[in-house]
Parts: sequence; C-alpha cells; structure tokens
Amino acid sequence: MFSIRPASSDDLSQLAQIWYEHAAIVFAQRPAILAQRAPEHWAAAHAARLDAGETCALFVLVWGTRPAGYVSVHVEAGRPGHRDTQIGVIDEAALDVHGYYPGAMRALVQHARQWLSNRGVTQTIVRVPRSSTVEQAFWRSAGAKDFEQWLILPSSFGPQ
Amino acid sequence: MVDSAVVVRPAVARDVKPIAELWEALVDMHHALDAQLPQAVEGGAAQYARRIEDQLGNPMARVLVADHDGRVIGYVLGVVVDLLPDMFAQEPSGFLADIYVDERYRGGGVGRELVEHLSQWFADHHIRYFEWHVASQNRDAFDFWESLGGRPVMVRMRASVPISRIRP
Repeated sequence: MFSIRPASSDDLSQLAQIWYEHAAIVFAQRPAILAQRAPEHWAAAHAARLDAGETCALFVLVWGTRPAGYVSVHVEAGRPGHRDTQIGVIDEAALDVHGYYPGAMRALVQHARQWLSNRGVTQTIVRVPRSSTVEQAFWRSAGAKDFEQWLILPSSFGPQ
Repeated sequence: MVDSAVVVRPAVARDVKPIAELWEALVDMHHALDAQLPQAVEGGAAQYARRIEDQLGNPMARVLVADHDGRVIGYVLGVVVDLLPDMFAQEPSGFLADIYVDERYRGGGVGRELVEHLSQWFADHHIRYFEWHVASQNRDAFDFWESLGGRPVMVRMRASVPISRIRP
C-alpha cells in the first residue's frame, strides 16, 4: 500500500506543499509568519539536504503512486560537555492533511529511527507543538518522553 | 529584591572558570530531576568553559554574570539565531541557551535580573522575542518563567533509538 524511500529532487515540490500546510498549523502558536513563496524556499533548502551525505536524510512515503508524507532527520553533535556525543533530531515529519494514511507516520518514524540507529545514534529528539495533544500522544506512543518545554517571551517584558 | 551587592555585568575571561562550575551544578541538578537528561562527561566543564570563552568574542552572543562581592553566583548565555529566514517572515530571534543561579542565592531576584539584562541586550539588537528550553521536571523553573510571562509553545521529546540494525 505504501513504501518509503529516500526523497529525490522530483519529490520536493509535492513535499513542500505537505510541509507548508503542516507548518501553517504548527506555527500558528508562535510569532512566525510563513513567508511568501515559503514552499519554494523549503524545497530549495531540502534540495541541499539530498546531497548532504551521512549527516541528514529526507525520506518520502509514497502512497500508491504519489508522495503522501515525509520525514526529515539529521545527526548533530551533543551539547558541549555532555555524554551524548551525537543526537538524532527528527526535524520534521508530516503527512498530507487531505488524506487518511493509517500507519504511515509510524512507519516513517520507524524508518528514521533505524537510519539513525545504523549510524550509531542512540537518542533522538523531536519537537512537538504544545497545542497539539494528538501529536504529543503519537510520539509518546512511539516511546518518546517529554524532557524539555520550549518557551517564548517578548524581549520587551522587562524594564526597557 | 536583589541584594544591592549583586551586580549583573558582561562576563570577562576570568569568569569562565566559575561559569563552568555553575554549569556543572546545572547539569547535576537537571540529571537529579530527570535521569533522561544527560550527565556531564569527564572534563565536560572544561569543554563548556571553552565554549563560553568562544562566546565572549562573539558579537551575536551575550554572556552575563551575577557578581556578588567579586564572586560569580549566576550567569546567563544568550545568542541571536535565525529561524529559517527564507521560509518565515520572522526577524531573527533570541535564544537563551543556559541560565543558572547558585542555589544559595535563589529567591532574591538574581535570575530575574539576569533575564532582564539579557532581554535588554536582545531588544538593543532589535529582537522582539526570545526562546529557551526548560527541563520538563523543573517545576521551580516553570514557576520562575511563568512569573516573567513566558509562554510554552513546543514540547521537546526524547526517545531511544532501536539499537538493532535493519536492512542496509
């Protein structure tokens, strides 16, 4: 019913649209406004990732014959002085919001985690909107635990 | 009310070692709160000291210390970051990377003073918002940040990666 493979440049415009619709929901809670032509910029940024080698990857989930989701992952150095010398980061994972793709996100995440595991990474981090309890529940069911909250404050809060 | 003997000032080279010692206390405190949070490696404080030293010369970073009669009792590290500027019509934002106050000096407004000074520095750089991460188990920190008006927007979650290898 579906397959997962490394993304190619031919996938990027469709994945960018999937990203855009997902990002519009995610960033509704933050003081960030999606730029005009944001999908084109997303596609350009991820085109560079396609050739980035072993430190990052973009996988596409193909449902039938068309891309219906993706996961973007990279390996980064651990924080200075900490024991984890490298951490896997799931940067983005999204499905086409116009369809129903049972099991697809779990399969994408599993694929990303196995890609990380093959590179010796033992811990992975994902950030989830505070407002999205469904997304949080998904990640908890996938074995993730809350470990940090991400907060925001206007710089003008203090005595300027 | 902040003790009048406490002065918040930009860090200088001689502060790097005491800042690294405070960082070690921060890491220990986090690990005691939540075993998921990483411990320091052997020599971790020295690595962190080098990082702080690098930031002292970085115009897009600010390291401030709370100085009590010549003793560093707290610090904060903030940096200017871009959030995918091509994709978001958001100006650069600030990121508060680390903050810690010696527990013997808490409750006296030292943390707030550090944050206010950093906030002023961000504002001087035309940055309207700044962000930071708080350990989920650190209730005291939540109370502190809520008292300043901090608003949680994202949850960072962590999972173990399966060790078993699959197809090549």
